[in-house]
Amino acid sequence: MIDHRLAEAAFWSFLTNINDGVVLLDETGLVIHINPRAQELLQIYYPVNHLLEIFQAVEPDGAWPRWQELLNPPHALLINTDSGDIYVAAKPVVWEEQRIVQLIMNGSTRIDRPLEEQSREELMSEIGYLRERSSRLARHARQAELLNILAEASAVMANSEDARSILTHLGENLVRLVEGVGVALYRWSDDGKLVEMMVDIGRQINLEPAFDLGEFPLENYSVLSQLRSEQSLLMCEGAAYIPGPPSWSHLGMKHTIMLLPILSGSEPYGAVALGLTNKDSDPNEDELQILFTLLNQASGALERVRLFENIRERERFLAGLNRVGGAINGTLDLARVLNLICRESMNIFGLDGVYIWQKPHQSENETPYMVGLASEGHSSEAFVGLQLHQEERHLFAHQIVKKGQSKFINRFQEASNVEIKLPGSEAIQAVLGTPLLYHDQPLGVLVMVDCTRPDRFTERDVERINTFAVQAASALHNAQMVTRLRDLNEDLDQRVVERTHDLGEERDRVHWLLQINNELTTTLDEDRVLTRGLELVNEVVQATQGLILLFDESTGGFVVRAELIGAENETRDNNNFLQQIDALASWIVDCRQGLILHDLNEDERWSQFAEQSSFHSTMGVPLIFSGEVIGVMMLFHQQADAFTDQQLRLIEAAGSHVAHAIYNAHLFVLIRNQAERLGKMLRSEQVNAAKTQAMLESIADGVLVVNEQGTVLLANDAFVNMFDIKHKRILNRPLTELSGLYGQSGDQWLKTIQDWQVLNSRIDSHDSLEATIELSDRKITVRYHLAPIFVGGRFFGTVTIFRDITKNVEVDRMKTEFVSTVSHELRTPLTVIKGYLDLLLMGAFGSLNDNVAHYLDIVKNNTDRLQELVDDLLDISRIEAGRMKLDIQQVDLVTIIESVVGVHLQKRIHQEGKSMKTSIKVGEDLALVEVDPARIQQVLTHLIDNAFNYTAENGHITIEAFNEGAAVCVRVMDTGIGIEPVNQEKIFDRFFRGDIDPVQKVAGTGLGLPIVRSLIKMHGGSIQVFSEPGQGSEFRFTLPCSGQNASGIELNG
Amino acid sequence: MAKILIAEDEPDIRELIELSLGYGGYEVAAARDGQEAVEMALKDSYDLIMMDVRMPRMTGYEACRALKKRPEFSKIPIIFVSARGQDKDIKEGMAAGATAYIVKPFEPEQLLQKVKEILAEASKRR
Repeated sequence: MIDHRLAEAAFWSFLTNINDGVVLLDETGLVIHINPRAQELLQIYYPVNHLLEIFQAVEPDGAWPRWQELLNPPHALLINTDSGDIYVAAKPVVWEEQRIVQLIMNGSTRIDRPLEEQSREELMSEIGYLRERSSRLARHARQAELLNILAEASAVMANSEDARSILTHLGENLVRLVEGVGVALYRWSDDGKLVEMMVDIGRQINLEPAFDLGEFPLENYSVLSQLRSEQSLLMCEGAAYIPGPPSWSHLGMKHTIMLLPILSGSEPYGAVALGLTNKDSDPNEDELQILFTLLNQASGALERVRLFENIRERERFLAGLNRVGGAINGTLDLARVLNLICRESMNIFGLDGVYIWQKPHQSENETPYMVGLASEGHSSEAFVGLQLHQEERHLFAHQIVKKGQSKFINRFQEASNVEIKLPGSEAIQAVLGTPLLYHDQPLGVLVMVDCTRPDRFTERDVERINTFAVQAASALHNAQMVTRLRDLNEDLDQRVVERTHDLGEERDRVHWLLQINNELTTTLDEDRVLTRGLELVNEVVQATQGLILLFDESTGGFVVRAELIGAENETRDNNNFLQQIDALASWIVDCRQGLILHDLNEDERWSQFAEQSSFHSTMGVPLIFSGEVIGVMMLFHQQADAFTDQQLRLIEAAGSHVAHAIYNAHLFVLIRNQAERLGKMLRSEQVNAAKTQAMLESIADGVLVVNEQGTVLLANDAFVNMFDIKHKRILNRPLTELSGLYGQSGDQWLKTIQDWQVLNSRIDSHDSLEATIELSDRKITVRYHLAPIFVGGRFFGTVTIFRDITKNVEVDRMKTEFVSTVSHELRTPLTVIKGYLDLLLMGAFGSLNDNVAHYLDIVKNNTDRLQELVDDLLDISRIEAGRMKLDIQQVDLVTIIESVVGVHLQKRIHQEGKSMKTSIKVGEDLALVEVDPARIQQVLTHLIDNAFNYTAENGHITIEAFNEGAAVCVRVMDTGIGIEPVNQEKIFDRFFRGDIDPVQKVAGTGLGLPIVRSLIKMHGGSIQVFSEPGQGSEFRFTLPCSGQNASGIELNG
Repeated sequence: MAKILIAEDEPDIRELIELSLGYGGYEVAAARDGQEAVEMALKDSYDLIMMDVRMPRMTGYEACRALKKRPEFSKIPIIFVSARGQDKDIKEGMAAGATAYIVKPFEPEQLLQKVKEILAEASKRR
């Protein structure tokens, strides 16, 4: 390959040194070059621009068209000058891709040597060609250089791992590409407003690349703002007049600045400014293409680096998290965990200082305060132990806890309203705090600071710190728990040691007490218990003398029941000594607890005792069982201070065992006596029970005993026979199992018994009840009598006595039927007798003499009595047979009263010629009664007849009727002979009649009042009699009323 | 004078009623039971019929119901004279179509009084 510059140099050297004159013209005649030989030949030593100027200088009088022909080569011309002729040959040449004209001149010789000329021409042509090739080569070389730059830059950028080196290469290569004066690179900052200058390379003024030169408000630089928004190439001519960042000054103030956008991927990243020389102001297409390719590659590389950075950062974060997480599982040491949290957060977030405030464990309603717990980095040594107090609620850490959210403050030094109370806070530029929450409970606050970057923190940091804080809080919580547990453990250990010691002592005591207990429980002999108890106690105490006194209920004082065998007994017989002992024992009993008298001489009360007995110290415990003092155990010693509190406690415990043993011995005697007594009682009970059983079994009535749960305890033979049931079917079984066996009426008595079980307190055991029992083959009627059984005031059950009254009932029925039949049959003859008597008396068969008439009257009176008797008998038999049916209606009682008094009574008064005053008194608003009017008329007739019969002439009969609650009360009063008190109940018995004269004189059956009472009972009323002999009688009965009066008006109450 | 048919199985009472009514001036025909009473009533015409309840062959109730089925007897008063004096007896008798029910033993005077009243009432309606 020929170096085109060499070719160029050869060409010009050839032109300068050649013997011919050479003038190079372009096609229009403009002079490109004149060589020195041509200047010499043409005598032109000054610059000429055009062929016309040469013509005017050389041949001023010549013809210009002749010269013009030279511009249309090939052509030849001979010029005559003062110095000689010049032969000029014009030849076409291609030079730097232009067709030009080459004029070759020879002055001394005519150019007529074809060979020389030809070779010269050939040479010229060769040189032109050479030049042409050299020029092309130069262009290709430039292209190659561009591609080389591109390839080089691409390789570097493709392998670069940081934005700084990518941008450096981009800047250097761009400036090489455009052969510019300098380059500056800018990055759009995150807030979008500021431009940060990144690179500034001045090639010509030899500035080294520099980074991070400062931030500048973007809005100050309209061109850059335009670029930021348009993202396309901008050419700025006259850069000196365009406002730009300081770096522009290095780009050549007089030059054009080319602005290009830098992308990271597809996101705007920043801008590049290239300072161009005016000459090269417009890069050619090749250059532009390479330039954009470079930019694109840079964009890709930046994006790759950004992604790589992201990944690296995330890896770092995750690794940090992982370490913290691992630490949580790996260590429970609070200090290590805290240290790790601080260190990792510094690492992960690239910070200057990390601090942990701890919120001490306390209840919620207390005002929180915090303590510096751990820190790392900036001024960390002064942090631990710092306190935030309740009144410092405005502080940053409190706010974080209160809100429960992370918060950061950039440009901390400019924030006037925030205090953080961290050491070295004057250097802090940005701060971020996050609450350490464990299950929504704040454990503390993690605070991070940066001392160099005012805008250090972003929302992204908040997200990350939240994730980190969860782990950190968890770790902190666990570690705190462990610390607390460890403290607790230590406390427990300490307690275990103490307790073990206590237990050792306790064991010795228990062992000894167990021995006492074992020995004492093996015997139930009281004396032995006492003696042995005392001995065992003294094995430990080593006293001079020991006594056990028991309380004697019969004397109300203490009796010495045991003393230490072999002890000094001289003083014991002294009466005074015993009195003193007794006083001492009483005192101990009053205190109800063990006592030690260390020196009896020092106590006024006992000093005398001490002198007499030679005892100086004593110890005593009350023997208490079930809260009751049963005695005292006392120990004496000749020396003062012989007993210790520990001994006293032992003796107290032993005393309890001794008391227990005494009690057991007592109990044993008591139980033995009781058992003997019970045995006797049992035997007599058995005899009694056998007697009772025999009696119950032998009686004819059925007996059934049921306990309070309704279980059958006893059913005698008579019962099982009566009810046709087996013993085993009923004994010890619930009574309810019988239900349904004996028909409806049978169930009724079962129900009665059950009711009584429940309502035993209200049992009226006087009533006898009747029931019809349906057995499999027949019906029986039983009368039963229930009575509760109380044992010691407690309801035990019921006893029921059954009597089979089937036959009695049958007999009764037959009797009633018999009476009815007889009465009925009596009527026929009565009818005949009465009829004929009446006819006779009427004179139907002729007139009668006085005697006959008198006797017939007697016959008639007796016939009437007979008829009355028959009527009454019929009524009573019908009532008793239950065949009397009532026809209940609403009736005004007054009508009936008036009818009986006004018609029946008046008729009798008239017929019998016995004058009688009568009066009827009716209360206001008398209610209607619900009765069978015929029966009530019968009742009133009976009562009024009686009143008339037993009241002497001119007496007084009064009938009263009035409302009484839900009933109407009727009083029939007379002023007659009255009824003896003894007879007042009997008059309602059948066939009863007073045995006094006035009664016997009156015809009567003794059935009237029983009928009256039965009828009133059937109506649901009652009848009473009030009478005083000689004064008169009153029969008072009640009838249910309808609640309405005679006018149909509703009555109140 | 009004003509009365009586039915009574008991001869003494039958005669007593005959005597009583005769004493009262009535013309009396007597039957010994319900059956005979019905036959006689269909044969001859009577102003009033008086019957016992409990009689052989046909009771008074049956006889009364048999006669009252016929329109010609609708206005002839029938009186029962019975030893059965319970409410249900009286109700049954009245339900059979009787005009009155007299319980034995009766007083002849009372019987006559009742007959007189019933006949007066019957003649008024006729």
